[in-house]
Amino acid sequence: MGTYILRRCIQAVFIMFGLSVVFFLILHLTPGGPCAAFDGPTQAAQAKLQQCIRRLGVDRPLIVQYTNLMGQYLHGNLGTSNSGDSVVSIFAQKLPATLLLMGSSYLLQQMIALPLGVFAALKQYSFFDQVFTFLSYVGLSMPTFWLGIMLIFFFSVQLNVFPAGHIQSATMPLFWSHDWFVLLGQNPGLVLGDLIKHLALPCFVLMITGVAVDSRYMRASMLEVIRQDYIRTARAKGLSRRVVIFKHAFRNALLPIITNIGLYLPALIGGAIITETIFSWGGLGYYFFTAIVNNDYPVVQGLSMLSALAVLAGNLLADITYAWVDPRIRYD
Amino acid sequence: MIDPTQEETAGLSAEVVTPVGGPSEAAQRMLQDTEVPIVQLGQWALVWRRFKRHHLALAGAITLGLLALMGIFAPLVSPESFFGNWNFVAGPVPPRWTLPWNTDWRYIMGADIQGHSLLMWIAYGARVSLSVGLLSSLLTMVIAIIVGATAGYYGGWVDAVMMRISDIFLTLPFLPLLILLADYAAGGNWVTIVFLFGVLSWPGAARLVRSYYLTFRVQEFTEAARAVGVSDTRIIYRHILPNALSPLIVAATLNVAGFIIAEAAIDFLGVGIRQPAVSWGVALSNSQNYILQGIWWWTFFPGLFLLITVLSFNFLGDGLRDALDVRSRAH
Repeated sequence: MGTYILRRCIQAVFIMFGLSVVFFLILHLTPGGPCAAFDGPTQAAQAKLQQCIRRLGVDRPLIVQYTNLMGQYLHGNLGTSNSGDSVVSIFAQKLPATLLLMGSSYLLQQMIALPLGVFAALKQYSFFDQVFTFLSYVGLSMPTFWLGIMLIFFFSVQLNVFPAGHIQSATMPLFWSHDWFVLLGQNPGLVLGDLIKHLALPCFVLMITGVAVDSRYMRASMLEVIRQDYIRTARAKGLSRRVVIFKHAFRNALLPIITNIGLYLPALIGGAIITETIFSWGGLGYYFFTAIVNNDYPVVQGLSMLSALAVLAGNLLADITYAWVDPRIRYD
Repeated sequence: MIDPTQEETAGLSAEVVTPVGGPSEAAQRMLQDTEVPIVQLGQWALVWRRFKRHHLALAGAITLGLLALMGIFAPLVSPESFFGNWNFVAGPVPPRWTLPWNTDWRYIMGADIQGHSLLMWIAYGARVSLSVGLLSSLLTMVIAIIVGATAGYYGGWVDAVMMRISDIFLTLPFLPLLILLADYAAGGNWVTIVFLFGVLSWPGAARLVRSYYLTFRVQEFTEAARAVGVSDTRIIYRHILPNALSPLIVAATLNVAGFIIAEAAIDFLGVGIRQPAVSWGVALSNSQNYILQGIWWWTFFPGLFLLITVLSFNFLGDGLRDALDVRSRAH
């Protein structure tokens, strides 16, 4: 186990190195290069372009640029955005909103998907199971951006029950700021109520695909488990169906789901680009998207590296939990 | 999905009622003369019979056929050509379902704020969605087969190098990178988008292909072919590939669904296909600001067709998996 983790970590370092080269080349070989945002016909624009080239050192050889950049990253400095803010501070500032959205939608998703999957497995081939299967295919095939807009139209424009976007009402103090915490202490009902109202639609949109996938997964896993010998043994020695299903079968059927939690890590800190854009959520996903569109090279490079790191960490976490929760798994 | 026991009995009773049915007739002929071609025909008839049993997959295939026809004959379906004289009306038209709507059938789904009928958006958009989805999936599979077959068949350092490269590609965050590259490279060109999809998504399929080649390269038919001096290339593409084709067809079908959604998503974000080109994603992108004014049909119908198309491909893939018996062969 120890050597297995060590070997995976070493592997991850090599993949990370490869990824950093790929990202670096992608961003440097694009037309206009990293300073494309400043290019323009006017003299002022040209002056800014020169300034950017000096600041990022784009005129130096690629290998020098790459080593400088990596040295900077290894010191925990992800560079400075075109507007002058440090990428790390922007990341820290946007992270709470993204964590809130992604975390709550993930929790809700599991709370719905797991019982659905178990129930469908226990009633295999029933009417419920068939409807469930059909709906899970619909959820899987759903263009979430379209669903988001239609929900905004229906619930915000027509019925006016949920707000159309943003993390909270304009009258509230800035989310996760000092004033916000003060108000939260004084009037938690008001603050949280406002937050939940804003969370409802984006949460639902983010959840749909996940519920469809995870409940199918849970169903398959449950079906596999309840056909095993130890379940029959438990039933045969006289335990009630309920106890067997929830104490014996459910806990084992949960294993593949638990190991998948790690794979969710990149989304948790990377946010959801499309959903955040539709709902003007103001998290990392939306910020990353605007940075791409505005050619904000240092931000794109820094956040890409972070998200790659998250993917690797997530995969590693998934493999380790897999080995940890299921002693039957052995790695040579 | 459907109770297999019920289906089984339904199938049997159908045969009893109609003794001239395909399978039983084929079985009778098989008994009478033992020509090989009939057995082969029976194999594909079996696949077709299993596929037909999956009603949703059948419905998906028919839907996709109709959508493809709509795309191919878009100039006939759509009352206007996007490139020609289209200005029938000045502003948005809500869907007209009241009789006699046949005098105004082109506005069955309404029109956008410039007076383009939604029927035009849907018909021409079907061309883009289906072409991008199918061609991207084809390109992905071609790359995956070349890489996966080479890695799996030769093994050794070739395999190690190719799999490490695919590791890196698998770790790339798909959507962010797609948006980044599409923003830089595509510039509204759907061929570039197909190329991007192919480059970004071959590793998963390549691993699938590789796993089959690892199995088949040590089997007797491969050794026999090698012993009589068949070249490696011929063994890879003519001897092993047909055996590994079923799971690849299923994977390719399911990939199409993903590519169609991804293409619409980047169009929607404004980094994929752009105006004045027509696609369902462009329609969704253009309409999102007007839905607040109550012009819901401009958003609703392109998205609905997107959903139907993707759903059809998912059902089709599922049906093919059952019909081609992929799961049992994979283990």
